Amino acid sequence: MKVEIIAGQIFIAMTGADGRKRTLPPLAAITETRAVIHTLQSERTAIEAEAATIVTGMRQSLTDGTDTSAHRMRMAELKNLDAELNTRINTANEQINHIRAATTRVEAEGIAAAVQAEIDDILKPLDTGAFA
Amino acid sequence: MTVINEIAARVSAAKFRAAEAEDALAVAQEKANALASKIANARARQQAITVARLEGEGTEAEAAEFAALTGDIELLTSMHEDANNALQPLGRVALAANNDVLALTQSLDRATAEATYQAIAARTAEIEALLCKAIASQFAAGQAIGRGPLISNSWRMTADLDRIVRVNALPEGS
Repeated sequence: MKVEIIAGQIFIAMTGADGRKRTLPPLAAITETRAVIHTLQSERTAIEAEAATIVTGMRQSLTDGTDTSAHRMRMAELKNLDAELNTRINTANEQINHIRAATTRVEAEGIAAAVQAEIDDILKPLDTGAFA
Repeated sequence: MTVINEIAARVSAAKFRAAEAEDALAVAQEKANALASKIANARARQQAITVARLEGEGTEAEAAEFAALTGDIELLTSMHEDANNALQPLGRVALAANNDVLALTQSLDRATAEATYQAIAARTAEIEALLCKAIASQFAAGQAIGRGPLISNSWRMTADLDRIVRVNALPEGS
């Protein structure tokens, strides 16, 4: 993720959910990242639902005295998937914070530079130049 | 510039918060409008079915559709109310964020004015020090040509500077 200034406007160059690189205004970049988080959260919800089904199935298998190894294997897979999704959600949230921080920092620098330029202009007629 | 930098950082953060709040409000408003539009479409369809029935052209399928539309309208109306209720807090957040931007922008303007004053004051002090140096040089040069022992024998204030120093008034035309 990189902040770019194009024609005086702030843009975020980032890799989208589809893996394609694109340059977006900060708010659009955040909206896109939020959509990614939403999708990841939906996937986690689906995993939770499947895990609940597996637990029920495992209990039934235990009651029936049948093999539960397939259930346990799938549960381990789901656990890994969930951990991976959680990491990706955290990364996306960090990216949102990073976009906010970078955008506001760049804009703040622009504001401060504009104020300094304004003061410099005012001082120009009072320049002592070589006499100082 | 540290104060300016700090306020500028707060202004830009507030502006971003306001933009995010406005964006969230716009999205919620769009959602509410979309629901309102669906309700209007469902009502229009019900009206068309009623007109057809009154003209003796109604069908059983349309009667069933009318009943289904009633259920849809009820559900959509409830969703629309929820969406409208969600707008109020979002609107308050956006308003508060915009007020923050306004207050901080005013604060930045005041800080800019103060920084400008301080910069000019510093430059005036530099110019005054330069003037003192110039007067000393002129006095020394005056001594070399026997202009007398007083500084005023060599250097005299202009009428404009005299007016500022003695009368505490700016030169005419300033």
